[in-house]
Amino acid sequence: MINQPKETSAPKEKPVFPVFKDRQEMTDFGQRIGFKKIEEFESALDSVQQRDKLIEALRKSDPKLNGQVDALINHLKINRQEITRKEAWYKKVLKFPGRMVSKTWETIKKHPVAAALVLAALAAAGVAGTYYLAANWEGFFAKLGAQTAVKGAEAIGPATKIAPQIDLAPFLEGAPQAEGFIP
Amino acid sequence: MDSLYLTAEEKKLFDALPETLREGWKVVEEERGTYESDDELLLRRKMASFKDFPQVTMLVDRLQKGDKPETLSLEGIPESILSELCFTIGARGLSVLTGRLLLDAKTDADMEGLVGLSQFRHEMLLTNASVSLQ
Repeated sequence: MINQPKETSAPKEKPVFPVFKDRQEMTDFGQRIGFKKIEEFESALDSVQQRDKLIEALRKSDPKLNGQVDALINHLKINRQEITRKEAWYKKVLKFPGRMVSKTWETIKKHPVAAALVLAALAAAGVAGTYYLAANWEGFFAKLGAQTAVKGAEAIGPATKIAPQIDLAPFLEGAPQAEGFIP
Repeated sequence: MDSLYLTAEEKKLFDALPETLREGWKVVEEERGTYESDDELLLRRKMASFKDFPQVTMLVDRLQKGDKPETLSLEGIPESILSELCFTIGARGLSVLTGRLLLDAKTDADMEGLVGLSQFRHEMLLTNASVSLQ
């Protein structure tokens, strides 16, 4: 019987990669590392044939990337996906009926817990270093002292009783900064 | 506009509402499961831009200075913020809001808001499905 080496459970530090808010920023990045057109850069993200060229360009732009190139390429692909989704979303929202949009916003604004959740999201988006909240809505809700709605409706009191317990401080501190890298 | 897209679990909450609130709405089961991954939501947070909404900057400043969130209000922020906000929190954030609002719906106006929220989520799930790495 062969003993398998045990994997160490030491947490790996996640590398910090650039984030592009829109296609123009991604295009600019592509050009800075040697791709004249966004189509060239985007096709290099997907193409096995052009992968070597992309890896070379990324390494050249940041020699410290050793061992992280694959993770960076994956990150860039997700970033491109989210840019494309955002473009599609904005086109779609323009067609939403005005009354529906108004009623939705009015309802959120007047509900203390919903408003606090939105406030937390805005704070997370506006303050560098709080990014974990954006992916932890369910956890944030639990921290409000309530269970998620679908799991325990009966355990949650009226919103007005929950509102005073809301403290956003834990969500505004401490997480690592997510800036950097852009050459 | 009268369709309420709810998951099976949410439908149980809807069914528990008084009949006067339930009548007039057509419940459609939300079957799509194209919710965002953690990585996707983290990216959306970093991509978010609220620069067109100076009220948000003021609110965040006040939070950082120690003002209690329950003393702050979203009044004054225009509804046009919903586009950026909904994309940032994703279908997962919208689900949390939908679930919470379902618990407290008391008026027809609340129901209209809920219907809107469920449609925002439905469209977000469709958008997620239409653009995917897979």
